[in-house]
Amino acid sequence: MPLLEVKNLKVHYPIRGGILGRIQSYVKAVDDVSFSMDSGETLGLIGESGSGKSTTGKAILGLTHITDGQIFFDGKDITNSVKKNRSPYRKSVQMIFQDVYSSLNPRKRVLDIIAEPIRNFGEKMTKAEEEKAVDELLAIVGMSPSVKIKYPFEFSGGQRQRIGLARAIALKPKLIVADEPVSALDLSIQAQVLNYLVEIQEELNLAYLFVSHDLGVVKHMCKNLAIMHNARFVEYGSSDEIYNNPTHIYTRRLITAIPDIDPEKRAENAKRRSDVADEYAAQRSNYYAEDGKVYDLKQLNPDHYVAMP
Amino acid sequence: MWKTVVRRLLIFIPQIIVVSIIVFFAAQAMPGDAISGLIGEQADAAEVAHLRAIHGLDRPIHEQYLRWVGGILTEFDFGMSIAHSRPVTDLIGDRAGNTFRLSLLTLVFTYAIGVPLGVTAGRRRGTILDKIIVTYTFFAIAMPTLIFALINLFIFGFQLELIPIRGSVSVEITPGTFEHVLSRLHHLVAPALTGALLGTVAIINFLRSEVIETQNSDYVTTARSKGVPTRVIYRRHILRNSVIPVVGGFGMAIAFLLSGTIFIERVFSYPGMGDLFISSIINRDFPVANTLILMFAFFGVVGTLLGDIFLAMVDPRIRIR
Amino acid sequence: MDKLLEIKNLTTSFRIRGQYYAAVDGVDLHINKNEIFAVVGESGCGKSAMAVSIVGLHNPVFTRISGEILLNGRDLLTLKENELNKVRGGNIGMIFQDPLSALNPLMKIGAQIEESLTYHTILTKKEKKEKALELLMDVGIVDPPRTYDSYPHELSGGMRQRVMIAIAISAKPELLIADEPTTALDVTIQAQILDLLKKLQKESQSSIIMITHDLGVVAEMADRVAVMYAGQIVEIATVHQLFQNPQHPYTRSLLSAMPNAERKTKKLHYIEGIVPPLQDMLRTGCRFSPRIPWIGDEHHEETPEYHEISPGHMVLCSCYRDFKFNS
Repeated sequence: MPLLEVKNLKVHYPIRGGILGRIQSYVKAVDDVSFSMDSGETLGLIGESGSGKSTTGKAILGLTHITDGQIFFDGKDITNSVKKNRSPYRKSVQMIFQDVYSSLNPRKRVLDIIAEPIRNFGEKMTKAEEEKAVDELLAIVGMSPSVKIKYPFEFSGGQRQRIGLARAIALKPKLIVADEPVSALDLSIQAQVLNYLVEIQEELNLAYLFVSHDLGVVKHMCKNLAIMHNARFVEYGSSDEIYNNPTHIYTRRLITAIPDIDPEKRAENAKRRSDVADEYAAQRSNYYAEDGKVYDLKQLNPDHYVAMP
Repeated sequence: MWKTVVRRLLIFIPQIIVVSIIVFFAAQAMPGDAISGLIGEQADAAEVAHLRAIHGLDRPIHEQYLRWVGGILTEFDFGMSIAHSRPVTDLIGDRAGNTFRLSLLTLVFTYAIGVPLGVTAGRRRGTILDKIIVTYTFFAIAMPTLIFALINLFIFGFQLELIPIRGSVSVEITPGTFEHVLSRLHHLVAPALTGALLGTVAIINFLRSEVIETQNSDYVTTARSKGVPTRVIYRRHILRNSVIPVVGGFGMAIAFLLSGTIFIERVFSYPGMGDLFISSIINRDFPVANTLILMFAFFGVVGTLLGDIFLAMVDPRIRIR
Repeated sequence: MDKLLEIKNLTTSFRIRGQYYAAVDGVDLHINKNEIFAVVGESGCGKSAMAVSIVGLHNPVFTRISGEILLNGRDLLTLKENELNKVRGGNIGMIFQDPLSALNPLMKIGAQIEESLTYHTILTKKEKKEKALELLMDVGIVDPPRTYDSYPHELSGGMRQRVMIAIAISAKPELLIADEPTTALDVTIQAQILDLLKKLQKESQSSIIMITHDLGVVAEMADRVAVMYAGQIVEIATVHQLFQNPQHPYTRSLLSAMPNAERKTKKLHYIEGIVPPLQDMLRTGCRFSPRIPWIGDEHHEETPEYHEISPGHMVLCSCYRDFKFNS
């Protein structure tokens, strides 16, 4: 049984207009998306800005309304209780953000920030127990207990992201939705945060829904991934399959666009890019319906699905 | 855009209806009415009843309201002033011009003083000039309008006799002459300056920080990287971009102005709508008071809408909703 | 090869609570004609401060600059403001990271391009419009007349950056300084913008200084590279030398921190500690030494010097010789 199963998720936002402000049409932010995740698995959700990848994450967290579709968690249909504050689901699913600084209350000490979810949802603890719990959480993300009394502004970006991570795992969740968690960080710090993410995952058997635009990071982190474009999945399957055998033209555009760190392959890459661009121009209709909609997914093999007519 | 404007105006109709109901019933709830104020306590009961009947005050309250609204809608008749025994529209018509002139000049002073001072303070941040301007804003904000008005009156009116202490124009001058216009201006300067005092502070503070922020904006850096001379950058990029939000706020300013003139007209004994409003409240002259409140509400809403339309015209990023 | 720009002992200091701290600390480098030169480093390394110093775009109230910046032999630091304004946009064009905030939101695109033409050409109004449309065409805008009449917010991120490039190249500058030009863009758009920059550079035989934190962008674009750390250039080399034979511990650390590099384990290398803030920056010895504490003092130089690995490949401090990652 998968840990999380999302079936035909749709998130549509109304556009109002006219003199009476009636709903005239909808923006389809997420349009019929299905996937499933096992415990301890990392699923990468890749897409460019406006592809709907963040909205998908938000819908799972109950941060936006769901127009249609179902979400199963541990086999139970929780679609209608996603938004309920006290539901056990909200304890089991946590999040970390790109802009971690704005998600940490600047007037609270690290102790209070990390202990907050425990105070809200967790078991009753004495002050001493609570401090001990926070010390343990800090140790997991490689920070010393002495930082408890400091405030968010006293930390660097990478440290803040680790504090955010400590807070996210305080309730021993089963799933963390990570929305561009390392995009704002410098390379060397990004590496450190990614290492902690992997380490904690193994320790707690966590599942990550890893939302990112960075294919390098996603490839490093994720066993499975889904590529989103125009609110739909264009390709879904195992990372190896998709990287070695990208089938949808959009996926190929995305992969060929990643700068290669080998300068010797420059000419080769440029050629590949222009070939894919030509193909995209010439064969667009093979990959998109007439109205520009991405087709439904078809199975290529057990590990690989592609949107095709 | 015009669709949205029409929608805003449509929303505005129920708003005005609600305001009219609240105003009408709140007025009824106040102790006493115009008749008791008019003829005093020792009046004959029959006499009072007769007068009340003439003005329709003996009818049930909802009937009075419907009659009032009916008159407005069918004949643009806002009723009769009880204290002045004249149609409300005439009475307000006499005063509206004065208040309009006062508001206009106040607006002109507010922007004519506020914009250059705000821009200068922002551009010359940290200099003595900036410090003087900032000190001025502290002074202006700390000074209650009423006190400032009284000081003005005392020093320039009574002591130096530079400004008239009451009225809107000298009665001995023939209307239509140039002297008549000058005399009007002469009567307007002190109340308008007083009214502008507080408004300038908001503009100066806003503009100063806006200019400072714009100086550091990326597009100013871009302009500098293009080799645009500093003075042109100020004119074309910094000033324009900082002043537009301020100017767009003038719709709100109209709404504020009307309420502001209430006190100022009173202190300077300036015969405008604000002055009329206060006396109508004191006299329980509800037809007048109700009409004025409706007018203030109307101008408030229209002013805000005008401001929004104006902003949408000058700032391409803004769409009216 | 002809040198276009020569920077000698450039020091740019910013005032923080009354004290000046050098963000660029004694940088020497040169840019050849007809080349793309990348400056790479993490935030706080001084790469943007250096870019801004070249055309004097910093706020003079809080900044002090010393050294020499020679463009075709003429020292830009000695120029008067009006002479510098001829260089800005004329000899040197600039492109910034966030094209939305870098364009004036209240001015139409056409006017923003023509503004640059006004100060560097003697075109008439009509010619300026023609030129602006031509520039929009050159940077790959599909419908130039329409874009000409648009406001920045009406364009997509990629189009805005194309417009920025059109502005920057409007007066045919010899040097383009691009400060993280693709960082705010999606990866497919980034590829298009990089290809465009490369194409324009080739056609005009001009030079580009590419400021970036992205080693992938460096590998795709640059002819030569300088790696900056704590206000200094720690390694300078051709792009092939740098990626095939990286020497400085900082360069090597960065390369092995990249998640898309081939490796056997899930563990990425990361650099201990943080890039120090300006006020706390080590000003003597090897500035990178606190980040590699397992390398003993005896491996560093007291006053680090540049060592030539091969022609044109220089590394700062002797610590590169015995550097090993600690696992």
